[in-house]
This record gives sequence, structure tokens and C-alpha cells, in this order.
Amino acid sequence: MPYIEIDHVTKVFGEDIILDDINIKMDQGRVYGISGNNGSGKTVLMKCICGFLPVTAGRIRVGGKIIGVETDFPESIGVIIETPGFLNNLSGMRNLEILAGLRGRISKKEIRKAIEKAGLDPTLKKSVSKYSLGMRQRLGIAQAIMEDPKFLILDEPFNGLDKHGVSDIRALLLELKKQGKTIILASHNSEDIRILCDRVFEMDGGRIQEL
Amino acid sequence: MNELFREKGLWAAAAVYFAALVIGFPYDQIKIPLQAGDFLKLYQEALCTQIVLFCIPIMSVLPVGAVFVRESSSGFLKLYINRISRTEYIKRKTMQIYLGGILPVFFAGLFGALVCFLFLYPLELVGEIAADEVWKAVLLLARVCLVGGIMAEVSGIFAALFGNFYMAYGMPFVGYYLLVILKERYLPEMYSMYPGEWIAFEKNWGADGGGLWWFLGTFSLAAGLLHGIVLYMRLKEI
Repeated sequence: MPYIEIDHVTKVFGEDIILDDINIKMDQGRVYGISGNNGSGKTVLMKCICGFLPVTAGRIRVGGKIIGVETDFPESIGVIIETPGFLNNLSGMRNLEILAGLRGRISKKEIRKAIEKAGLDPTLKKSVSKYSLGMRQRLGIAQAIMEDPKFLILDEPFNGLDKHGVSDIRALLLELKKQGKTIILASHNSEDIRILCDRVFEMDGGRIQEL
Repeated sequence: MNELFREKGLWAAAAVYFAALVIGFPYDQIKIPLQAGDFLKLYQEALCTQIVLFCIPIMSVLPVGAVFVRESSSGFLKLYINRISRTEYIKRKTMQIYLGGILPVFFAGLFGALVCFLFLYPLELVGEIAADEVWKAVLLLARVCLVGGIMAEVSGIFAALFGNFYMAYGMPFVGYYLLVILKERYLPEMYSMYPGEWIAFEKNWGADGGGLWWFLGTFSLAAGLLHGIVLYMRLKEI
């Protein structure tokens, strides 16, 4: 059974059709790329899969559960959608402690490990308001992976990263791929898609096709 | 709860409430030697002063009244809510905000009672302190706390409705003083709508005064429910 089933999904905002009868099946343990121009509907599709937006028609099933009906959000998911947002007056570590405390599944040691894997210093005391865009992006990746989720949705994860940052995060994603994680990755960069993804889809005007 | 206790606003509000107690304290009523139990009477007077009443709609919203605006505008909401559920988020935030309105005044009130005891009790003549007097002080503090909790929920409602810090912080203050002005200038008999009366409890609220507790309890519940409903509507699309 596919891990993710997107079944005749349409999403409309007012009179605008943002997602137009999308049908995709995705298996567990594979990496799927979604490419497309700005405004093609990639982020809206990802938000629907995450459960942040309800679909206008159709249904999305993740891990056997219909999103918005049987569960609000997919279980065991790590998410980066748009620029990751944090509480600016707190340090990166403190932000992740608050998030990890919601489920209470991991310890401070695992949070620190995730921050280090994302290429940041977990002992950094400065508040997130003083982080560069690249540091915020790395922190976003750390929060997405820290609880060892089975499923990752990453919308432009390389945003704001320099050459070394891109290389580090690519290596991290390849490692996660080897661990059998299911990853949906949106990127403008065709090289990222080519290196990381098993299957690639392109979105245009709310419609999707496999490349 | 940990999140709430880490909010600097909570402790700042408690400090301001304590300062209000100190500033508004009825020093002119201290006549040495004090009679037994006078420290409790003076403490209760301090809790009912205009300065404490003035602080409530401002300090109760300061800790976490606008937390939804902060979390949704920063994007932290997406990272937070997908780890629990919408219902769980609504329950947590409604309770967190209510407690955020109660705890600062509770801590300040408790500390104020301790200071009164430490400094004034030794000046009292030996005698028995009536249990009634202690209970009255406890109930008075409870009423101030409940009013603080209600103001905080009102702040939460406006935060969720408008997604705006100004509305979240400003509307409880505006609403509170609208009620004060309506009662003082236009409807002097309508003491049930007067926040000062909710705390002072001087008028008739039915047999044994139970009517006031029902009023505050129902108001708290209604504010919490309305807050939950507004949050539910806002969280349909994140």
C-alpha cells in the first residue's frame, strides 16, 4: 500500500484553482521531488499534505489515515514549509526544547545532536532574531529531523544556504534517504532534485505530471 | 506550564501588581498598636484600591494574552501545532492564557500577604485572628485572580480574531473601562457590570453572595469557550 495517496485533490481559493485534480501515489522510503515555477502550487500541495490546509475536493491519505478526517496532521512528520518560523527572543536550542517538549519523546542530547547535524552550535546563546537566513534554515532542518520522523516535507530546504551549507544539507538528506525516510522535497534547483530524488514531479498551473 | 513560567511577562506583571499593592497600601490606617487581625484587613484594603483595579486589564494580558499572534505571525505555529493536534493546541492555549491572567496577581497577592504578615503582625496586640477574616482575604484574592483570568481570555479572543497585538493588548483595557464608565456615569444601579464590584463584593449577590461566584465562573467559562471557538475557526487554515 502506498504511504502517501493524493486522490483527485483540488484546492480552490475564492475563484482561483490552485490545485487541479492532483493524483499521486508515493511509496515509503523514497525521495520525491516537486519542481515548478513560483505560483505553480507546490507549497499549497505540501501544506495540504501536512494538514495545514483543507482540500476543497478529494482526499489525502498518509500512513493509512485520511488527513483532516482521521487525523489533523500526519504522524511522525518533520516539516519545513516556507521560511521556518521561530520565537525570535529565544535561542535556537530553547526553541527546539519547546517543540520537543510537546511530545516529550526526545531528550536534550538528541536535540543537540540534531542541531549539530544541521551544522549549528547547540551552545549558541544568541536569540534567533540575530540569526542569518542560512542559520534559520539550518535550525529549521534541525527541528524537522530531531524527533527522527518517518516522513519529511521540505519546501526549499536549501534557501539561504551558501555552497558549503547546500553540500552539508545534501549529505544529510542522502543519509536520511539511506535510513529509509520518505521525503518530499520542493526545489527550484534541478541539481538538488537530480541528486536526491527517486521520482520527480513538475507542477504547472495547479496540475502535476511526472518527469 | 513550563512555557508559561518561562515568560518574562508573567514575572514582570507580578512585580507590577506587587508594586501596586505597595503604592496603594492604606498606610494612614496603620494605628499602632494594631488589633489582632488588622494586618489582614489592611491587606484586603490594599487589594481593593483603584491602582490595583487599574493594573488588572493591563497586567493580566501582558504574559501570554497575545501568544497566538506571536506564534502565528512568526510561523512558529506550524512547527508547534503539527506535533500535537488542533484540539490539543486550543486546549493548551486557552488554559495557558487563562492561567497567564491569574498567576501574576496570585503570586503578587501571596507575596503581599506574606510581607503584611512579616511587618504588621508583630505590631498587633495579642489576640485571636478570626478564621472568617482569613477566609475573606482568600476569597478576595481569588476574585482578583478570576477577573485577571477573564481579562486574559478576552485578550486571547481578540488576538485570535484580529491577529493583531494592538487589539489583543488594547481591547481588554477598553472593555474594562467601558464597563466602569457605563456604571459610574449612566447606569449606577447596574453594579453587576462593574469590575470594581466583582472584586470588592459590597452589594447584594443573592443568598450567601453565591451569585457573584456563579457570575465569575460563568463569565470565565463563556470567555474560555468563545476563545476556543474563535481559535478553532482561525486554525482551519494555517
